[in-house]
Amino acid sequence: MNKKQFLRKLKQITAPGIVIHHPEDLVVYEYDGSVDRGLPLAVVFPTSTKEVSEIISMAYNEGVPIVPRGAGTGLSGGAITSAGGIQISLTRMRSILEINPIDRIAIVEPGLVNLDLSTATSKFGLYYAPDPSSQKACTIGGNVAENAGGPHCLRYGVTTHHVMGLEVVLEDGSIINIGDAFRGRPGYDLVGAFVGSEGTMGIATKVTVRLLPYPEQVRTILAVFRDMDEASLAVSNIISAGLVPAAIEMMDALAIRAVETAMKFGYPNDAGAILLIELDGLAEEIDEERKLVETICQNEGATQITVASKLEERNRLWAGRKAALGALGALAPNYYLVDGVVPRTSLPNVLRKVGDISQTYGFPIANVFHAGDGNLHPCILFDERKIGDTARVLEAGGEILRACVDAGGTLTGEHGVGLEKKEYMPLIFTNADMEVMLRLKRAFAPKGLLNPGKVFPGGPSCSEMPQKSSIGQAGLGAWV
Amino acid sequence: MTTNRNLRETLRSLLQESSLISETLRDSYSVGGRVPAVCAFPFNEYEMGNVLQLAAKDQLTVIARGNGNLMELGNIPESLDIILGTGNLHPTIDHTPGDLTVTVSSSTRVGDIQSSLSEYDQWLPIDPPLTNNRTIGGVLATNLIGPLSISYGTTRDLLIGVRILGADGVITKSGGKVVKNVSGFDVGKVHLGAMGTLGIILEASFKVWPKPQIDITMIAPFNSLHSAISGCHDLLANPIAPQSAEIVIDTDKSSCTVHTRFLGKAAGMGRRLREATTILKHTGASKSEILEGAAATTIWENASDFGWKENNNDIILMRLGCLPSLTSELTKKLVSLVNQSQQHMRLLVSPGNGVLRCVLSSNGTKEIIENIRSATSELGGYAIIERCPLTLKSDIEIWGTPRETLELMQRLKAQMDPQRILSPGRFIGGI
Repeated sequence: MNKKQFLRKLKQITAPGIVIHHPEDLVVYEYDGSVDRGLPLAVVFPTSTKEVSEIISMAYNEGVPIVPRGAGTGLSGGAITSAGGIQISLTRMRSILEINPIDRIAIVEPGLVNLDLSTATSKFGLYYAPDPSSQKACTIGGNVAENAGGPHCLRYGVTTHHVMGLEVVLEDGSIINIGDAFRGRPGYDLVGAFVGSEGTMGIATKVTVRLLPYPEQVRTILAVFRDMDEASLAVSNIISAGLVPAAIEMMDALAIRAVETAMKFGYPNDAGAILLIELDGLAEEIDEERKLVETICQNEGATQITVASKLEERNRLWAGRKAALGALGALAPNYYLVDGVVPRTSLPNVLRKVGDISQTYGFPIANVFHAGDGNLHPCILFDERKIGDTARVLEAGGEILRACVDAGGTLTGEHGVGLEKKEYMPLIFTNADMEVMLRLKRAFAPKGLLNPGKVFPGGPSCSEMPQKSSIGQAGLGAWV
Repeated sequence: MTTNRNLRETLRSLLQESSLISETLRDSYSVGGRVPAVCAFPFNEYEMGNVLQLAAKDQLTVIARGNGNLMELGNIPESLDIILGTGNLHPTIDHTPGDLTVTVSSSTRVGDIQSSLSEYDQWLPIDPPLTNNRTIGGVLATNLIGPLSISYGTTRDLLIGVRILGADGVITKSGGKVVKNVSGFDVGKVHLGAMGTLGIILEASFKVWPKPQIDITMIAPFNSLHSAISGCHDLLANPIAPQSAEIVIDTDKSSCTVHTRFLGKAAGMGRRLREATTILKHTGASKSEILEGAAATTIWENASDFGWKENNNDIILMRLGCLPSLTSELTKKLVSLVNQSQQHMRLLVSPGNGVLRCVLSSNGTKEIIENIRSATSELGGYAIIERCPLTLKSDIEIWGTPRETLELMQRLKAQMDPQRILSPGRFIGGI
């Protein structure tokens, strides 16, 4: 079947308006949350599991690769299409099918925007815990594919801890339910295998998630430090004191300056680092914890501590953190966002190394990250119009990843491997390790037609420079 | 076909002499009545790998063993040539208190891990049956739940990395030692509760938690099981919720007792206990009592070990699970079925996760089990037989009827262990 015949057939099996294939319509789908690109043959917008199944089944028979797509906010090139492939956009499947407040679960379609779920469940006093910074845009299906994290994962865990069951369309179009609305059913943990498989094992068409009750009280603490060393030590001491706050986020001097320049939140201009610490739980408990956190921060040299308990005040403290990546647009036209993880105790050392790398390469690097988890997000700032800088930025990014791995850490904490980091996988994993991962994938998708060329080194890539995928245009609407 | 003697000789050449258990003791290592030809307890991972490579070459079947406490779990294996124990592997505990993580070798006993962590006021919040005396490898391979799972989750929620000995004798890893990690696929998860059918766990890394300052148990007697269940549900829906809640009942008696465990900080504990007392009284408790120390420890050990401490091989221990909100309905059905059949039953109800565990006396029949199963499945739940007499086991699938996922699970097994060397037949659907 040639391209034309395939498209004709695709249109036959779907409702009108569900397939787009004119080049001018496809341009938007050439990208995800990056500038890596790959033009799909067509993008299909199914509205039901049945349609997803029919499309996949047809593609399977013709050997056409498929890339599932949520909101396209991914930062590792996971939604980029390989040559001759089609994209299945799940954004029209965005219903909340069930909220069961008694058992604290919800069943949703994959295209549902993350934040819309908590908005809908809030009337029951419940929320969905994983909160990627892009939660106003990213979808639950995309979160499942990437095993997304977020600031509050420190205490509450990442996506895989909150997904109970899935309806999945497999590579051949068959529909299968894995997991359940509760845990404990005997059998292999297929949900655990699927979450974080970056769209290579199947397409989730229904997601059963667990919901958590809102904590009784919340305190957000903003502590200003003279430098990152002091702030990092405060993080270590908070954890060592037996506290697991809901979130501990850090911003360095450059990020603070960017936020101040763009939005004027009133952060002190000479601040070397800011910690944003959130405590939640019973009123009495968090009062005690707050005092302890304040003491630790003061002992490490905090120059200013602000505590907020009302929602509006807390949101104000968070606003600077949430807008940080977008604000970097005030400092440079482009950024390369690195996502690495180190053991918490290695934070001060690795952050110093990041500083050294910034010096060596001559690029400013801003740090806005999940300090409590040891999940770094160094943002290398540059101007891609300067010849040769892009290549050197990628090299600097590689150096940072190596520093993370050397410290006992890993390549990615929440953005995924995708195209961006697949060539770095051997830094962590042997061929034998990766072969076992591939066996796991083959159990779900033996032909490898789902999101091919991702996660593992080699194979087809979608652009000349795969590692470019996290290079973004800085500006509003960028999250980390 | 390799004879037992040949196999023993071959293994002797691959392993250190004292790795092999005396031939006369083989019986005590049987699994589901199958007596292994050889029991090997290698002293290092390399030798463990040698055994599996030999098994792969000669098509021998291997069952992994930790401390051997839960070998009764599972279907009767199709065959058993080699028991491969981790008991001689060096137990290691690599704990970084500031990272809140620990990496342990699979032969390490959970009790030793807990002692080591507690020096830094940290712990691994898990309490499946017979926990402290078992190896962490065994705990992961069986992945049974305990009373703490309603608040801390299971090992699934704590595991951050594994090293696995594959069926081909090759050692591989996934995950790592950091708490947030999406590099590569999460292979570790499929080994949890897999009964060693996909590989043998050699090492595991966990995130650990600060140990709660205060550990208080509150017990409250109820006249009606159903009021006790709704009492627990009301408690668990409240911000002052306990970390464990179990109901103990004996069908011979008309009463039951709610056991709740409150873990946390001293601050706020007073209010938690006061409010819990009010909620429990409001839902029908005649009184409530606070316990600490040994009395409390015994209560939670009994809850964890429920049905596993009896040395009686004739009992039937079942675990039923359903949506938490259906706990009361499932309990009603179970009690009525058991009463009809005039069985004696001990019952432990966990309203927080919809789990019922019951011990039936030895005259339990296949019929009553099947009736319980169909009642459970009508409510969308599952029923596992954790222990039962061998005669019954040979006639029943202890994991229950697998659902639509069986084929996918078989494909996974075929990928990881194509020759079906590891624990064949012991897991669900005869995998």
